[in-house]
Amino acid sequence: MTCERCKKKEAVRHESVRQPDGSWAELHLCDTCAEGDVTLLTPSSFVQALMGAAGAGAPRAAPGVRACPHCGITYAEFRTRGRLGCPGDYEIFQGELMPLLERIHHGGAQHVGKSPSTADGRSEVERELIELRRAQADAVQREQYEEAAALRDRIRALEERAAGGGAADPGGKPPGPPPGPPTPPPPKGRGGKRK
Amino acid sequence: MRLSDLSSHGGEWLRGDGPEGDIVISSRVRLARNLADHRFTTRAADPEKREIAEKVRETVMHSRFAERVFYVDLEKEDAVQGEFLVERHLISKELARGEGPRGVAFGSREAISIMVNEEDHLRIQVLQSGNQLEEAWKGANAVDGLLEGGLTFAFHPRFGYLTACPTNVGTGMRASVMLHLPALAYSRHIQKVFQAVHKMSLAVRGLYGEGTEPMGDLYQISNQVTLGLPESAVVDNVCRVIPRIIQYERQIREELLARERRALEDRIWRALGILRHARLISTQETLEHLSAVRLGVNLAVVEGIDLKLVNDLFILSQPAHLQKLEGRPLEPGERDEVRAAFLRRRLAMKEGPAENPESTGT
Ligand SMILES: [Zn+2]
Ligand SMILES: [Zn+2]
Repeated sequence: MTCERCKKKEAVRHESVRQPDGSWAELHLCDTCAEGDVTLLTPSSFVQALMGAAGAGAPRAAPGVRACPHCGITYAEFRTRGRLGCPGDYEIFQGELMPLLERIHHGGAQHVGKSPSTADGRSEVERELIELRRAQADAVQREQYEEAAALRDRIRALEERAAGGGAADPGGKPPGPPPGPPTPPPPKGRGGKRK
Repeated sequence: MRLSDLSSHGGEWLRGDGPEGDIVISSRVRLARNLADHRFTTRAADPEKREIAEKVRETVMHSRFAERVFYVDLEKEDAVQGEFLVERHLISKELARGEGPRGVAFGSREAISIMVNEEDHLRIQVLQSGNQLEEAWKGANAVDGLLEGGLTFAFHPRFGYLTACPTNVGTGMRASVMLHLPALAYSRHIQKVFQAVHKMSLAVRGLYGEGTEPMGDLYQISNQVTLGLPESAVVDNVCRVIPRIIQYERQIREELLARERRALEDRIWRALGILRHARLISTQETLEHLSAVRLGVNLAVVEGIDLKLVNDLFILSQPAHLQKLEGRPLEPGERDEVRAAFLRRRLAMKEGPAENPESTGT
């Protein structure tokens, strides 16, 4: 098969590409033309292509101004890079992400697969940890070492709380026994231990 | 451990003795996972990435997912080591060419590998020889379970496992099967396979996964959708299409043998001739001819050459493997010469009596 773009070389890339109307079309390109083609399905370009298509019809209010309080990313940044900043973004940008997810996953909008046996209501603590770590990194960058040390202590305390008490978690399921062989405790007294 | 110990043979999954091993090279399941209390790798600075890598490494090394577990700290390795692991399918190009704290843990059989700080904090991968996607999923699921005991993964009741890229969110699973489809490629019927596969929301990719070109008539069929379908349904979807492609490939092979036997034999023997006698040969040309020889072995047009050897050569003739075998860095031009010499040696050793072209007449 010859390349659809230059109609000269042999097509070596065969990809399905979303059309603006939402349908799929096959794209057959030679290596040269594929090199410069942004619509090909590397995950980030795929997402960008989808978002470009979505932008045509959907009105966007104040695009990308709101930033995630946990990692600092804005929706606009996500749009340029094709990658989110932290797990919390799925909730923060849920409104913007839903139509995108439905297009990527052919209508899928609700997870129905496996879930971690330990999934429960600890997410509040986890997001607070992300925030504190970010503040700590900022403090180090600004050479505010005392502030960074104070933040580190808060992170340690929070990590210990998360590791120590499943019972303290609001609305959490009782923690079940971990599957598989028991995991040895992390050595060297590092702060990162979890249950 | 010394990576060079691995360089003389391919991983166990390349044995070629798995179910439907003449057409199905391998089955692979990959699960993307992230720690719940960290930013995604792509947004974390080096100190946070190091913390993530250490946490994951600790749990992974204690999880006993394999009898012997190796960990390669890619931040400390040179580019050739990284490419070497890519060629063996233990890591992705993205991880090899990435920056900062990152690594890979893998078992001595090379069936299980866990990439650390690729786009997601963890990428659990299980590779099986031949058509065994179900087995690969069981393996990945078990490894996931082992790691869950020591790590808290980011999970949302609505969105499932949370990933840096929304294309992976939900199950975080990519289930893929690598197929060798030379007859469909020669006869140009392969386009029909692409069309059928795309209609089922599946993707076709090349030898080294996302964004790579098909080489050596090797194609990977994998799922695209990760949200809204349980893992078992995704495995089923991929598994359902594979026997149809296998049957199609076999049918075209039969037709080629029936109608164009001489032309097919000629193509196969010429390919073997070039591999045995060339003085300069590129990776691309090597894979093309190895594909023809592999078909020849499977159709018993060529005898006395082991399928395992041909499978191994697909990997061993790649640039980083050649440099490992040679024990020194090679310039691109020099590689073609070393590759040709390597192929002559490996294929000459297996000379057999059935290779007399006179004996294969119709
Ligand atoms: Zn072209
Ligand atoms: Zn965020």
